[in-house]
Amino acid sequence: MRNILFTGIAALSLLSLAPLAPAMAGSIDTGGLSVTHGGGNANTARGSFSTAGQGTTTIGGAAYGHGRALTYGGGNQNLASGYLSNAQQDTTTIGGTAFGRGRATTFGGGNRNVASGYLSNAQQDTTTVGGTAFGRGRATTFGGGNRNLASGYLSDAQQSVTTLGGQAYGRGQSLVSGGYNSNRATGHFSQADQQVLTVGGATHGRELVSGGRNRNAATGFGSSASQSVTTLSGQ
Amino acid sequence: MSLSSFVFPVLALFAALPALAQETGGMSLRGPAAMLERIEQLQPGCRLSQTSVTIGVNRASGAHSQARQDLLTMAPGGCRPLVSTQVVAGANLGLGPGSNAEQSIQAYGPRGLLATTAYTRGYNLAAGPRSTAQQRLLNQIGR
Repeated sequence: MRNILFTGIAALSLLSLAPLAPAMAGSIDTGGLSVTHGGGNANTARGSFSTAGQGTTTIGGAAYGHGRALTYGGGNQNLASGYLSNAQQDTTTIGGTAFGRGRATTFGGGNRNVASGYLSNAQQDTTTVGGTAFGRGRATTFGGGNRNLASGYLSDAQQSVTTLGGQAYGRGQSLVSGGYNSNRATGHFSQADQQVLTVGGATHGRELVSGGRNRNAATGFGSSASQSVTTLSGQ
Repeated sequence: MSLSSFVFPVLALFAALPALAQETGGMSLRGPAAMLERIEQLQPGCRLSQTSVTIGVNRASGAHSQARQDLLTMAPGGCRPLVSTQVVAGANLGLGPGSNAEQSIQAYGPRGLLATTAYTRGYNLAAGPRSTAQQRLLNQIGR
């Protein structure tokens, strides 16, 4: 949880610098379309006693003048399937500021973390920062749809998903969704821990927040499943 | 109605569609004046479009083998193209028993005046017993 708060604070500090960008960049200085794609990565530890570590960082841009900023950091897969294997995945995607009736769309969800091997360990950390739209803009943030599964005997699966987006200034629209997550511990004496933090909001206009439809289940003998889903909006 | 009176308008329509598509395709010009102003900001000698693709494949397939790959791509500074595209993709495979595969890919590029696209994709696999695979990808667009 401390890791989540740290990444959240660091990302919020980056967002707080966003209004300074036009002054640094000039009046009409940058383009109207910014696409930042850092997701869709796969990390697999398949062999026995194997270790797989993956870190992906994508830092993209801003869009001015009827701009459209698309940030995609989700859709990652982390799998530890070997005996006593260890898979660690860290994905950070930063992008997405749209000025002037802009649209800022941020997608950080749709991640999958699985520890299926005997005594395996899978850790996944996904941070996506995007989505600030000025001037009757529309900011859409989706950080949910994540799946965390510990199916191996004595396996351990830990998933942390942080999605920051959705500031729409000046009669804008802000849509935030952090739900539809699944956390399951099906192996004997397995552990599954899932933490999902989705932060959006901050608009004077219309706002829609959805954080529901989450599932948490410990079905294995002696298994343990803990789930924490936080969806923040409405500042 | 004769056949020719039907065929010629249809052929004329098919001939007109590509021209129409060329006029309406691409980026929407909601502010043509601002768009032209941005295009005029293109410095002489700078490219209209700049695409950077960095792809690495790193594989350690022998028993107790080691494979290390470092890739760095940097675009020349000072020039901002109209459209900037930067792609980073890597595959890192530790296949042999006791093998070690390390991959690092870094790419730095300018932001486009009109549009910027950054795309990163990684595949990391430790398949051999006691194998290790470490992958680091960094795709950064200048602010």
